[in-house]
Amino acid sequence: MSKHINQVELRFPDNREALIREAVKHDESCVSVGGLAESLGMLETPPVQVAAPAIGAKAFAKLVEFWRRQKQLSVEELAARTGLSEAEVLEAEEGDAVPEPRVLHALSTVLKVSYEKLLHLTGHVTDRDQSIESAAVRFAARSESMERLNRQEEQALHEFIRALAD
Amino acid sequence: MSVTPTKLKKRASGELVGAELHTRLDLADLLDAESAWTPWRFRMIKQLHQAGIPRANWPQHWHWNWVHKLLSKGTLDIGGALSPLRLMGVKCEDEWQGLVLATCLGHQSRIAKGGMDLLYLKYLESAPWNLVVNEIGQAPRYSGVGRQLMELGVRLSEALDFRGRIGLHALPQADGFYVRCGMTDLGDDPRYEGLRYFEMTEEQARAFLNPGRTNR
Repeated sequence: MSKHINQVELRFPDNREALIREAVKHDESCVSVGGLAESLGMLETPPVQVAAPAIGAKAFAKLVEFWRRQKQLSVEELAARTGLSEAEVLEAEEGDAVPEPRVLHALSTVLKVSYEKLLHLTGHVTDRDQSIESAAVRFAARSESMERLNRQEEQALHEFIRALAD
Repeated sequence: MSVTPTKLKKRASGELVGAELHTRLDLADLLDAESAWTPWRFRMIKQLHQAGIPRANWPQHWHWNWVHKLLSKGTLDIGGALSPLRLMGVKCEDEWQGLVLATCLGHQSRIAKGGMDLLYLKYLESAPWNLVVNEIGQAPRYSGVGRQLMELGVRLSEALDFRGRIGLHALPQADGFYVRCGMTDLGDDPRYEGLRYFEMTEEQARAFLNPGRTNR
């Protein structure tokens, strides 16, 4: 049975010196969060346009598909590895819609590429990284879907993953 | 006990001074804090205005009247035995230096498999005199408030058996703080007016509570 938020006691260690040292290490500017403001209707920030650059979304779709084929995994197997549903993996490979950050995060972990760079690539982060953009164009411009990756596709995949590494 | 001794750094002298972590507060405490913080915010807004700083560069939330809104929406039950909201804070020299309001209803992990429950921080605020505001030459009175408010959140999450999992939507000027806390940035959330959503995983919570130690 779940516990009630106002009926549990917090436990602190006897010695919190390391935590205090870490806490006072930096001066702070804003630390505020906006959940309550949202529920009270106080936010006035204009909605951020998550306008996926078409080329970035396509490049991401190809990245996922090529990587899966290179590893000779089925959609079902990739879904199991990432914790995503098969439909989510298929949607990510189609590239018609912008994948949610949650999907990008799950795939970045398995593909071992930078989650931050995937956010840039798919337009979630607006200050676009030019190097990622040009790598995406080069990658998306190559190859057709085939059962096995040809040598050029292998090379393109390798280069693109390197560009997206941390 | 709902009060635990702690320390903050007094910026002017550089010394650590005694403070308190309070884990069980109610609406009266929120009113106490706001009655001290609101006039300070207005003074700072006046200074920013006189210095010709564009409104877009002011801290986004300074003109919000939290208490008025809370009262007008009827959200009065904070901290009661059956309230879904828990309020905690840091006090020093008899003044509230920061508050955090948390809930565990209606939010699940966007990272952990199976949408595990997490603690959602609806409100987290440091007293306006504790912020660096370079435009008007303000240095903070105390350092260490924000991170200790986060610690209260992590420990409440643990007490609820959520293993330290926390979610929150940061105001734009606070993004960097939550990255420094080790949280995962899950990008802009269109459902929250484009605020960025951050989540702390179990592993990140362990690292947060054990600074300086290698995780895992």
